[in-house]
Amino acid sequence: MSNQNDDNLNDQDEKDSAFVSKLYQQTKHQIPSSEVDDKVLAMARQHTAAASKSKAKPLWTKWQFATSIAASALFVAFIFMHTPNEPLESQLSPSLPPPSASKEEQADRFEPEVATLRDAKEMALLKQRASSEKRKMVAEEMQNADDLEAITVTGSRIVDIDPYIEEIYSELIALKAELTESEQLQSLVAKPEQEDSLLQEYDDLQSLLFDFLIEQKAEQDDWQLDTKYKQVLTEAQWEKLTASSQD
Amino acid sequence: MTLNNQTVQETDENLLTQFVNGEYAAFQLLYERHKGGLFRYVARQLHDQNLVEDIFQEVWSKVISRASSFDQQAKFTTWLYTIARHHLIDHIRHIKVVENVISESENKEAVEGVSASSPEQAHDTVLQSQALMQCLDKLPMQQKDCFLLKEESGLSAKEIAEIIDTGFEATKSRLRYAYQSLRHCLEQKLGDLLKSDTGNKGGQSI
Repeated sequence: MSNQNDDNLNDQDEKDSAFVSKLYQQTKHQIPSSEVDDKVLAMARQHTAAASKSKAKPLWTKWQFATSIAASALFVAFIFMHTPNEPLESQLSPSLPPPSASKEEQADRFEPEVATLRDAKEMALLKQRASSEKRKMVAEEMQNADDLEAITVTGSRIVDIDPYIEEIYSELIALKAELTESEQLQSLVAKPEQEDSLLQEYDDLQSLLFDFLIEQKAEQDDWQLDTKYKQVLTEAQWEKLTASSQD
Repeated sequence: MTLNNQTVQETDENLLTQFVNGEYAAFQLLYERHKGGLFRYVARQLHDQNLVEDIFQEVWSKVISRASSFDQQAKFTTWLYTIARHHLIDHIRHIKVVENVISESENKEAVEGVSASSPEQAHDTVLQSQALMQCLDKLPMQQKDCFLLKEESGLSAKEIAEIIDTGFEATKSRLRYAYQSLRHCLEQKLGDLLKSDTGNKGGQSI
């Protein structure tokens, strides 16, 4: 009985669904308006156009972010590979410039020393200028003294040459010091012609001192040659003075 | 290739693949095939024409944007109606709850106490259609949903069960009750004329 009832129910269900479905299919006529159709199709057209545009783009534009990351990583790797030991070298020998340093960087490192030497050179030039002025004055005075000597008939000197000897000696000492200092500077900044002029002045003063000492010796009976002049006279001059003094 | 040839030869899935590959014409075919059924599926669950059109457009917009992620092993119709159903539920969730309650209460009245409106006009197809629509509106939402999926998409009970995320047996029961309710409702509305009309048509009778 129950099976028969189930079968009847199933048959009834099929009949119900067939009838209702047929009726429903007869009634359905509702469709979207043409305006809605246009909107939907426009969306599809837009999507298709956008897709074709993205296909037309160069390959790298699709991977911009990944390309940027890779390029950054390569750059950092390149930097590390090419400068791996620089900090260690700097720690080991901080006074030395790095091997890759340019000439300008090296010049910058020597700048304080060069500045110091330049100052010293300027001081030396100032001293030289001052001493040369003094020597001019002395030379003028000596010229006057020579003139006076020429005028005197008695043979006795009107002008005492001892102070001049001492002054020339001091000049020679100073000049010698300058020459010594100039030799040190020469390697870096000093010009050769400046040293030549100093040597010339030194020679002149040396000859002048020698002449004065000879003259002094001739004038004074008890003349004694001071050994300090040995350091500013040439060996030949010194021997002449000592020989004549012994005589 | 003409539109008619493509309609016969190409499956929905192939057309969607062609659209993904940039063929706009493939989408046109796909749209022509499914626009009516989908529109009625939405329209017969809502009464606001503007809202129906909005939801219909939004569903197709989702189809367009998600076309590239469509699983080739799946059936396009199932996928389309799943999107539509989820979209519909999102929009009318609160309305659906209210309508469900109203519909169930009104359905009892419709089945139990309503007399046929005009037996004299039972032969008029228009009147039958109106009666069917009235009966359809009185169906519980779950049954109505299953009925519309069955009638508009032509899907099997198994495929409908997949779309509505319910068991196969439960789906079959909902479909059976839907058809029974509609049948009873139509009998109530159309009365003896319906019986005589169906009697004249032999095998298509109740």
